[in-house]
Amino acid sequence: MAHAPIRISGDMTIYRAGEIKDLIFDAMAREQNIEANLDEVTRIDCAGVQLLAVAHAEAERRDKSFRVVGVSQAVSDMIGLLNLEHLIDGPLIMDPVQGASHG
Amino acid sequence: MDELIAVFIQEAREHLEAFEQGLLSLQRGESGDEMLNAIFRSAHTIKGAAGAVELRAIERFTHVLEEVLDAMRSGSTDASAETVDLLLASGDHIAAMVDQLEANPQAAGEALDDDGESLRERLSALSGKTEPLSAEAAGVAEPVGAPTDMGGCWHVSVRFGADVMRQGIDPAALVRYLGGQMNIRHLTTITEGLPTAEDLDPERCYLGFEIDLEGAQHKAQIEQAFDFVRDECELRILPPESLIDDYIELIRALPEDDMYLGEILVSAGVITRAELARGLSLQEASGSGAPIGEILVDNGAVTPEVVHAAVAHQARAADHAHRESRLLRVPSDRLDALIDLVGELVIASASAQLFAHESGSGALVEANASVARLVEEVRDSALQLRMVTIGETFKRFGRVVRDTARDVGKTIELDIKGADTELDKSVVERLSDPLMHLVRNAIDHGIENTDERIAANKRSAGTVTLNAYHDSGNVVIEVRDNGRGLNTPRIQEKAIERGLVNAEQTLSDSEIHQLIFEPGFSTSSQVTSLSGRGVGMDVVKRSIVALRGTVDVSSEPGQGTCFALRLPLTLAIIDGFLVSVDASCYVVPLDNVVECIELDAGQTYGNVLRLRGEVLPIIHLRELFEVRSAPPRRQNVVVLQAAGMRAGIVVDALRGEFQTVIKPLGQLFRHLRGISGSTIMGNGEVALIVDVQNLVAVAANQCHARHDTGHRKTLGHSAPEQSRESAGV
Repeated sequence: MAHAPIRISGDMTIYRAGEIKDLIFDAMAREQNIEANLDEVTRIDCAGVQLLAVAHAEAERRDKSFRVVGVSQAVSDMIGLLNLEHLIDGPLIMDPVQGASHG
Repeated sequence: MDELIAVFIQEAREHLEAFEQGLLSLQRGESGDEMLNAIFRSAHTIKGAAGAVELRAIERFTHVLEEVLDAMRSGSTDASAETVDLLLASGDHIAAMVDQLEANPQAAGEALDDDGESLRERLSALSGKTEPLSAEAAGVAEPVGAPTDMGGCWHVSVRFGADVMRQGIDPAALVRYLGGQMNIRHLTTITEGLPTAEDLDPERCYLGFEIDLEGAQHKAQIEQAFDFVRDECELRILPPESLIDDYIELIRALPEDDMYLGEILVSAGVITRAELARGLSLQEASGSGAPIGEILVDNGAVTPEVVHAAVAHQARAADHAHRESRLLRVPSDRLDALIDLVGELVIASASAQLFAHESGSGALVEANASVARLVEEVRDSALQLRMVTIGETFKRFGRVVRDTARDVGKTIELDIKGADTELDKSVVERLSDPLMHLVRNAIDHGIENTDERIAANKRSAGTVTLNAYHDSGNVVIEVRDNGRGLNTPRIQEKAIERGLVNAEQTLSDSEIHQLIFEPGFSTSSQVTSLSGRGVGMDVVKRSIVALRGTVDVSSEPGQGTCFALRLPLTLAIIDGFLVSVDASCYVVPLDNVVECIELDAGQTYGNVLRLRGEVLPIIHLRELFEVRSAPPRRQNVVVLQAAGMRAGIVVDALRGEFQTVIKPLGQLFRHLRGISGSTIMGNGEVALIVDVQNLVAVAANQCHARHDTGHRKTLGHSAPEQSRESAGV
């Protein structure tokens, strides 16, 4: 089955949280497999992180898949800071154990 | 270095003692958590102290031990019987290492270890169920409220309020700020609060963090990072494990006596002013009157043990005594030297009084009288210094009872009463072996098997009771069991078999019971590893007698047996009765004196006196001590009683009661028979203290020998020979 790509660019913060939420979950309503490319995200805050976490949980709940296929430096930094590497698995996966001990 | 080691040895032993007691009470199910913390602290202190004096082997071993305890504290390891056994064995191992260290302080190094290897492996197996790394990984899966223990890390637990992000605060920014100020060792983001996509309010904050922080100086430093969101989040800051002990120390050391609990906690830096204020307002709001300490613990502001310490500090302040903090460690030889000096002082003061009287100067007599009164008080308080409670000794038996009972496959509880009873330290020290024997005997012979007990309609668990109380200048120590009681017919049978009594003799039960104190007497048909080898009660009796004490046994069939040891309060001083032969004075312990009578030559037959129709063996002190002068016209007999036997000693004059300080005989006179010590009288003369036990035994033997051989000759010089036998045992 085809992967439905979505791309989020620019701010992934509380100011655009509603908009991004709709983007992700509308896609999830339609498609089975979602690939989110975040490599153009310039800023991300906890609201953005929450959305990623919920997207993962929701996909699992509905037996679908949600993958992050690309991350920008900002996303990678934030994920590293909050020790949430499991949210951006895929090609950029980091060993959570390693992350934990250095986090 | 040596002194440090000595201090370490002593402290380690104290903590090991506490460690063991803690484990035993833990096993009995007493106040689990608190006890566990106490046990942990003991181990922790030993570890720290060992580290401080560079005893790496002990430090390493204790560290492994500590990890198991920590696992128990966090609930991941149970306090099962096996675990406790292993911990006890580990305690023994540390004790052995300490012993080894004491024996050879030079070898204070690696050589101490070795045997501990298997113990250590078993300990690691217990604590190390999860590898340290995967434990952290597991923290991601179930992070809520599971603080990862990381030595010197502060633990910060924060859950953000719904509107935090709407107010323009990004929680991640706080983390970044913290990371800039201090070192974040580990952080777990709590996402469990997130709802499903439908319910998700994208602007609302659902997150929380569990953070292990390094490098914070005090709590307020961490707290201020959260200042902006203070009212919007639940924040808990737990001090590092290592600091908890420090806090407790700090609280103990606080000089203020009557502070509020909250103030105590604030001044020790355990909580911040803000936390206290919030706690207090909560307390007010709830109106339930819950103690502030409880509220603070519920809030996670402090750990319970710190509050305990603070409460204890408060209690101690209230209790004016301040006992714990005012204890003073004094080498016992200094104390002995002091008591010796006080003894000299008593004597010197008596002599001063004597001369004052002779001088006839009223003022001098009066001055001396007040000096004498003060000296008496000084003596009493000096002797008081040597007094220790018997409780420490009793408590040690917890372990003995537990181990011994398990060896013989019985369930036995130890009941301790009168632990506060005080007696002289030297008496306590010498009591330990006889008590040990009695306790083991009670476990092995006294208490029945579980089956037997159930058949006899008794509780399946037996009880051994240790009791101590003061009784008219003596201390009575009882070892009581609720077992089957002494088998009176069997004891009699055995005694007849061994020729101790005649088959025809009619003996009361208690007379029969006393027979178990005869040398080599054992009714047990079974020799176990514990007792029943036929040595025992006589040894117990001898050691108690050597302390100028007595042993009594009472027993009810099916109800149990009770051994009562009656001991003088102190060995250093006796109430004596002064007698004299020619110019020499002798002191007889007053407790042994039954009566004094004038010697009626018409009633004496050699070494036997007829006293009111009964035969009383007598000893002429003049002959025994080879005083060469001729006896005076009138002589006196002091009737003595010891160990259930009576004898009289014939002396020239009775001089009356005399309280005196005993001075032990020097090594040169160690083999002297009939004398147990000496004392110096007011006039500077030496008086010898008569060894009543020995004399009575000698007199009785004389009588016995005479009966056996049937001749009526006086025994004169054979007496000392027999006394040598009895004294040499």
